Amino acid sequence: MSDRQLHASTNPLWKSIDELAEGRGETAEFAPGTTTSALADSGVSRRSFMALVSASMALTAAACRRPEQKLVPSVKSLQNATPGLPIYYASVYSHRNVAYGAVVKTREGRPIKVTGNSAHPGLVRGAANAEMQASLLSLYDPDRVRRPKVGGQQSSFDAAATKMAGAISEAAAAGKKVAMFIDEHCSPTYTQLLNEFIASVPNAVVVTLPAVVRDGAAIANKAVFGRDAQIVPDLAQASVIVSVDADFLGADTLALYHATRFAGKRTPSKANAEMSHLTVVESQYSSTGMNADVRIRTAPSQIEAFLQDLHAVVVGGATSSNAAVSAAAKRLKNATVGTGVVLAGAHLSSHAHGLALAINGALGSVGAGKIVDASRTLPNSGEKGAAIADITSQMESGVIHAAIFLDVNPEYSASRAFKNAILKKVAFRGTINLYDDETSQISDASIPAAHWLESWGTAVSPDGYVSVQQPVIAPLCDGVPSLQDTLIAIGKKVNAGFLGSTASYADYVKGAMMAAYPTMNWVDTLQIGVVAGTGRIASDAPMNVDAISGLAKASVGTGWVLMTVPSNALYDGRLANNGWLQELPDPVTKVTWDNVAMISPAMAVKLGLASSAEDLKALSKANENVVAITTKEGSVELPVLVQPGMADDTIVTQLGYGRTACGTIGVGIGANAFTLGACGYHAVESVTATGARHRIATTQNHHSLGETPGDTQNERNVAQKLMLSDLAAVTSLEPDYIKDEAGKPLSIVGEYDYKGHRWGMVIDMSSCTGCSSCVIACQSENNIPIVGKEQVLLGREMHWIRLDRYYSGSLQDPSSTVIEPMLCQHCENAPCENVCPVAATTHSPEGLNEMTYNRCVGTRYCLNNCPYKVRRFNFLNYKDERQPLDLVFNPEVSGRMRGIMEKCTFCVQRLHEAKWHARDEGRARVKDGEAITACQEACPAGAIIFGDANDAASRISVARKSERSFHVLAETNTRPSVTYLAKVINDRA
Amino acid sequence: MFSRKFDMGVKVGGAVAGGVVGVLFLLGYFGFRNDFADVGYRPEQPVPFSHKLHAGQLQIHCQYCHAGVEKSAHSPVPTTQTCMNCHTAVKAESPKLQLVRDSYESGNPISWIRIHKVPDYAHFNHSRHIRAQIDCKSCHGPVEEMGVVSQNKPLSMGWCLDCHRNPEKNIVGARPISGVFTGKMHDMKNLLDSTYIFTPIKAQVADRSTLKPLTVPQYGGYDVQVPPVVVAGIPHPKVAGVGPENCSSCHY
Repeated sequence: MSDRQLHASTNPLWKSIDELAEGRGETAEFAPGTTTSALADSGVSRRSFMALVSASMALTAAACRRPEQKLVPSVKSLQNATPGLPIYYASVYSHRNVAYGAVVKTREGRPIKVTGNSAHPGLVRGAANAEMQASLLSLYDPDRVRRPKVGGQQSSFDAAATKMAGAISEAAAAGKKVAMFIDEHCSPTYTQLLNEFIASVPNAVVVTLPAVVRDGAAIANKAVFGRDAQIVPDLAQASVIVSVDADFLGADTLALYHATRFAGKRTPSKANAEMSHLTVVESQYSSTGMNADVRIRTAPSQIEAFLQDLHAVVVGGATSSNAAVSAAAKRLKNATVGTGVVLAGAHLSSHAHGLALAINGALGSVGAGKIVDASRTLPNSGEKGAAIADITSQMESGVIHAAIFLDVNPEYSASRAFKNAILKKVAFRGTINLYDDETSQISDASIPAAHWLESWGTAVSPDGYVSVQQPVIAPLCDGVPSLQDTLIAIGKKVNAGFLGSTASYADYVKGAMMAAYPTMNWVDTLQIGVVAGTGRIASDAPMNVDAISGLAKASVGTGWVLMTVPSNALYDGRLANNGWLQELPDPVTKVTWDNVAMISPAMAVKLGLASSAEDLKALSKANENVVAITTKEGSVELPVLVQPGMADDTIVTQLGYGRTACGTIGVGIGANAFTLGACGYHAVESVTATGARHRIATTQNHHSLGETPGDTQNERNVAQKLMLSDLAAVTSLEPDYIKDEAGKPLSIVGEYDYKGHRWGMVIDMSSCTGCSSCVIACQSENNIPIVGKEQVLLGREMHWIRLDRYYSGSLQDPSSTVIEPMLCQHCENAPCENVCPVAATTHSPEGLNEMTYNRCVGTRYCLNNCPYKVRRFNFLNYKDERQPLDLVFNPEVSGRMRGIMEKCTFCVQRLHEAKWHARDEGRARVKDGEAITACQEACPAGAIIFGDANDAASRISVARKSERSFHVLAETNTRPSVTYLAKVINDRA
Repeated sequence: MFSRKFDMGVKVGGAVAGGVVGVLFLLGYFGFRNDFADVGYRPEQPVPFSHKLHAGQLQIHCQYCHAGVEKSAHSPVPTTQTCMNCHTAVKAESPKLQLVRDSYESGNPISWIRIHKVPDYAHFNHSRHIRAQIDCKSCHGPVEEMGVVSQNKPLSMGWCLDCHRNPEKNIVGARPISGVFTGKMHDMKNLLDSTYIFTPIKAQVADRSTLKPLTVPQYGGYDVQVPPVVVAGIPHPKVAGVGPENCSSCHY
């Protein structure tokens, strides 16, 4: 038995219930889950099509002279701005209150790409998350609001600001207060500005009102360390992690921060079998759960009990009857002192966080420089719920005359009591934000704000690095001012002495920064993106473990429990009008353009949606049934998705959907789960099937590589995984090639001789966390359109890289998950090349599989012949023609029209750039690490390595020699340029 | 009425004639259209600027106006300010320059008419050709003799490939990079003749394994503080072993 059979065929992989139920569907033309209905309703008849074709032929023949084109240079010469050359600016992206250094690439003055800034010490390797990269699209969003409104009528900035200032003065005259609601942020300068604002406008109060409020950690840290803040653990030091419902790799603003540190310890080899161990205790199936070595499916009511048990065993030395607790406790205790850590989910009670701290303390992981360091805190992450409750009661009692919402949207996300109070008890409402959103629509005055790429700002990272956010483009939308500039204007109208002579936030930022860091060189700081010399100083805080007993426990009932979680793509729905994020498949469910009610298979039976949890066909039909969920806060109708591995009696749904006002893309997508209550657990009063159905556009069955569950005869074994204990015995995972008589792999084309470079890629499935930032990076770099829900239902999504997610094990509780990023494999014996009748896809001398758009006539033979299903066809013109969306395009990549095939190019434009750079330095070859693809650049886990396989010293050449390496579908002799490293699951006790 | 033979003759003859006409049309359309249609394209520009006078007679370096062509894919069209550098003093009152002066004062740019154009799906990079020592004149013709510039070469794919396969006749020679611009017209002895100083184009490159910046973030672009790099002879792509003939060299 070969190694490959040994390690894989015993554990068949499957993607979905439909696949398990129906097998591969050899004869089906379309993937399960796709629909053919929309294929027929083309608006053009055969006859009118012929007429159009002949007319356009005639016109083509007549048009012998191309149309006159203009060349319009600028009037004034700009220093250092050469048309055609990119300029990179360092900036910082504030992902709520987490600062991520950013580098913004601009061409001819317009930002075209956002990547991570590796000069930012808080972030490694220039990685970026999906939201940070996709926020670029929102800059050019045609739905951004351009004009201020007063009383629902378009107005001027001055009139709207005067109106808001007037409301503040009125309140002061009446002896009442004005509430200023702000979002979580990490800007010391903004805090300073708000403090000065309160100082000169004494009747103003500032309340932090994020959409997602989770106070447990802050309350616990306040009791235990005396620090009212969320502590950021350093997972780079962790060798045993027990995550109790903490989705730290998924829908968490810190996921990018954690992914790099976590992934560093997930790539064992024969030589170095060190690997961290991750136990995940959860009721949902989260991204973190996908990465777990041991995943313990636990009902919400038992989550805190698990922590309690774990605490008793680890700290109290008791024994537990729960084998999972004993095993987790044993691992933690066996870990080297200071390397074990328990993470409690952000939505859990303060008591749960206290227990986690106590366990971590007992494991020696708390202290200066340790995993849990009380000085490594998130800015503005203190307790908020009490202040929000307090301001709500103040509004109800009529003390608050006016409420001004600074880039927050409570009408969408706040509790019912809060919404009632602002609507009925507050005389004046004002908003300053990017979109004409739900809150703007109930406001008496609203002022548009600038995008982060258009405004100045500052941000401090969890590690204490201070960055300056610099605008990279003059404000679009007729030159809207930034939020802070509007705030300054309002402040000056209320109190003429506000900020003295400082007129703009740009001046204020520079002044404040120069005052705080007198030795700073301003231009250098802007160039590098980080204020030199800043950084956290680790400090010890005394730990008061006894305080835990005073912390509040949560009471989660044992009936149906609803868990609302932030969406992996949209988080709290702020960027709901962003098509890139809406179309980004969820890492776990692969659902696009919707939020769903996830339930376990057994619960589908309980709801009467399936006859038996064993009847797979019936179970797959349970999907898409709409259920009405009612909690004490409200009621919402959502389509059901039967999610393997979910806890029973639990419904999980994502926040961020169901916007009623945000723009043409996001309105009416999904349902608003904030209606059911804030982020966290809620008792469900009733859940009933309504009888209606709602199509869910999930991509999980699209582009299947033909893995047939249970078919051990034809095991294709596309995504291999290994147990850590087996790693030492592995010699090769590569399957046997089909050989010719001479013993060489059979091939219908000759051998290639790569004289120069020979590009290749290695993808390590063991460190990939499935965060999907590569998908957005590729979309941004390569001008990939969004297609919309209807087209996704037809299987026509255009992403060049997708993350195939394979479960193995039972439907109720899958034992493990493998995530396989799949992109064009740039095969040496590419099946697509042989079948193209017009030679539009060819093999390059550097090993690329080239796609020449202008030659393609759209036969789609290549698509049908591609075993990896990575080619994408433009069935329609998917480009959104609205202005100014075309400014987001990367001019180095051609646009593709209807009828053209496209696919991953290995970012050939970047390869050219790297080669040019090498030649400018007088080198004939590109150095290792000079040519990097967009996906590689964005990957926080470093799971993607790209380089020259002809260079024996390159990282890719070394990685390819790994005993974990294999090629997907290698038995077909396609000889891919992409090598995969098998996922390793840590099975050590 | 007609014999079967005649009838068949008409059918076959018609088909053959139709086929011949069709083939001739396609040959003409795809084979020669560019040459007929585009070579000699000589639109009237909004300002009667003469390359013959400026480049030919006055011997002004191409890059004085088309600054940045050696480092960018585009050959930039000069800004109004570039014209006014001289024309505030020289011919300051000329009526031919009224549009230029108006543009400079009002801030409205001049709309020149584009002559040389490759399709959007073909990525032509000026700097690469210049650094590979291809003379401007190889593609643009004797601009220094043109009072009104016209397109001199077809700029079709076949024409591109002719040179990509046999570049020797268009390579100026293994002389320093500034020599590319010489020909007879730009013998700029006073302009850094032996070595051409340029600021390197920072590609998006760095060693990912170290913590060094991936891209050095540039505030305001590449300024003069970047240490000058002196290049004395760059290997031609052919010599470097990289074939510029494959599809994705230009189409991506």
